[in-house]
Amino acid sequence: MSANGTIARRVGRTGVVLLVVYAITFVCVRLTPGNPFAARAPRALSPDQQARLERQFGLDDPWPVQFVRYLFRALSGDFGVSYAHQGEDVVDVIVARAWPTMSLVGAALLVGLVVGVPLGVAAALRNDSWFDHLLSGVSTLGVAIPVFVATPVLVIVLSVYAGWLPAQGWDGLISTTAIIPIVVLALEPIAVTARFTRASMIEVLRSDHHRTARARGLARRTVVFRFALRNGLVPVTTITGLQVAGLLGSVVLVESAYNVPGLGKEFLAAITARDYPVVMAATLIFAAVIVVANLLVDVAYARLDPRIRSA
Amino acid sequence: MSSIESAGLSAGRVPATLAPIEIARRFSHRRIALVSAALLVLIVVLAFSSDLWLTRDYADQDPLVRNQPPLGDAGLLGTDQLGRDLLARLMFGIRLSVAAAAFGVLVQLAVGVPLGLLAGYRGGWIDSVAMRSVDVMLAVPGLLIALLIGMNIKEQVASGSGAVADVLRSIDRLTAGLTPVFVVLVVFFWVSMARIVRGETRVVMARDFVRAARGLGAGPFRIVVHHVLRNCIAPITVSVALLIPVTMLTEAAMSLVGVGVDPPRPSLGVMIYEGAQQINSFPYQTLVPSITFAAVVLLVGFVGDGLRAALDPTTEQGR
Repeated sequence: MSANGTIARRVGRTGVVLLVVYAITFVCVRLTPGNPFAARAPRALSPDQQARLERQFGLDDPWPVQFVRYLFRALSGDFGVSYAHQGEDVVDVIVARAWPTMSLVGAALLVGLVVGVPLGVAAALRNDSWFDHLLSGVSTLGVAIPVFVATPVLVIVLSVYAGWLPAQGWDGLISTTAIIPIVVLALEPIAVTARFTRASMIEVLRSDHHRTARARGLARRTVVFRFALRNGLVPVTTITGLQVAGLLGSVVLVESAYNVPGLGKEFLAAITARDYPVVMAATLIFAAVIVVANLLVDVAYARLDPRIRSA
Repeated sequence: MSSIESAGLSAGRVPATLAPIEIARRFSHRRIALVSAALLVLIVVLAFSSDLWLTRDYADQDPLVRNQPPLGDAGLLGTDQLGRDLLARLMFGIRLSVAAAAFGVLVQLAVGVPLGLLAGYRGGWIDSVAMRSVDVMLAVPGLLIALLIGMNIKEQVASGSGAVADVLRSIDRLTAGLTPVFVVLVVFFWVSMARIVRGETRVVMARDFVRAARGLGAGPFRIVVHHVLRNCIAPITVSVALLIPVTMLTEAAMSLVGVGVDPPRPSLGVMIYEGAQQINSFPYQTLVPSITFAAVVLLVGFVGDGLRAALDPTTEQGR
């Protein structure tokens, strides 16, 4: 199949994933019992008021009608009105909080690559040395420690005892408040990237063409950095794409633990407050970011690895 | 993910040609894994027997000993802001982690393995549907969906009406409030196991001895159980070990956010969250559950690494 055909099929799959996420979200939210209006009203709602509110928000229609209507409105950018932020448009609620979340995730991905790749290459070049073993142990640690553990531990060490960094908050990406969240989020990307770079580089360094290049007298440094690294980094792109999904989950917990006013914290607040329109919109946006990231990785992969194009 | 497997980097793909006794011998040579396994057994036994050797219950409040530091008069690990014994709470939290891990293993074995066998053995539309579902499940924002499902189940149990809510309520009484976590585990934890077993099944099915068995008149049941399943034991074991930390993490994260176990029952996630509210004045209250959780997850990880090496015949001596 041609490269365009493969990519077209993947775009189609992206649409299916988003539809499934929407369906799960819709079912979870609509089938949640309890009355979002009654919980917010200062006194008990009369049946008449209740019916009027339900009509106003379109909740009295049969659910298939609601399902299709919400879908079409969402596609045209109308996600309704937040219950918790009184009368505020959901899109405004989301846009106002998207920047801290996206910058944290982007920064963590970047740190993961910038730190993880050199570590992985170094471990591959010194395969089976003490450095290699140390890195493997540390990377097990990096994968094993969840963000909701790493955040309080770093805050205790760096803020409460050392007093170097603030214990919570957000002053933008270029500030001391961003350091702890980025480090916490980057732990897993660093560990996973290093691990995959190492495995992939070892494979390339053992390959025949690499041995040939060395045998023909090319310097080790030239071979490693001009040829091996280019081949060895191809699988790392896939891993980076998969990291996005994990990071978008972790960022929810980090934001709430470090009190960052981002989308993740808003999502948790919306879950707690049963603010359904915000919950639905936030889930869909996170899902969209993940599938677009995976799509970009697929496209990049097809460009980097000629074998995929014909596959 | 398929591209990773073709690059030979997948964790679960291990050819199984070792006898059980040989696997045990190789595992016992891995000191870190062995010590980790022993420590885990010790922790689990301590946690489940804590009612016998602890004087205070996890929910007992005592206003006279609030916020007492560890190693003081008020217990080994001190007390929290309501004067509850942190050691008792920690032990109960570990029990919940173990319960989540056990249920996650059950889902993998009882749902993921049969589904993978069926998809790999039968092929055709069953395979297509199963593998497309796997692709979709791997691409959704897992934690967010988990929290959403948790929110739904929590409300169903609290105030739902109708048959579904009644069933969920009776399950909730049995599971001591872990129903949202269990539902999420059922929804998510068959996925990677089904994919791995399906792949292994396809590989084994193409081998000569399966064709020979079929030629000798072996039925589908015999082929699946006797040949396919037996050759899948190594990847199944490794996958189970690798996913246990994730199940524990799911329980802790859901409870931390408030869609898991109900207070006053202490999940490790709840303890981390509650302790973090006083992080400036009493850092030990969040440090104790944090370190415990990280340590348990790490020990499980070491055991998993040991199992993977012991089960992989391409590594020498399982090292």
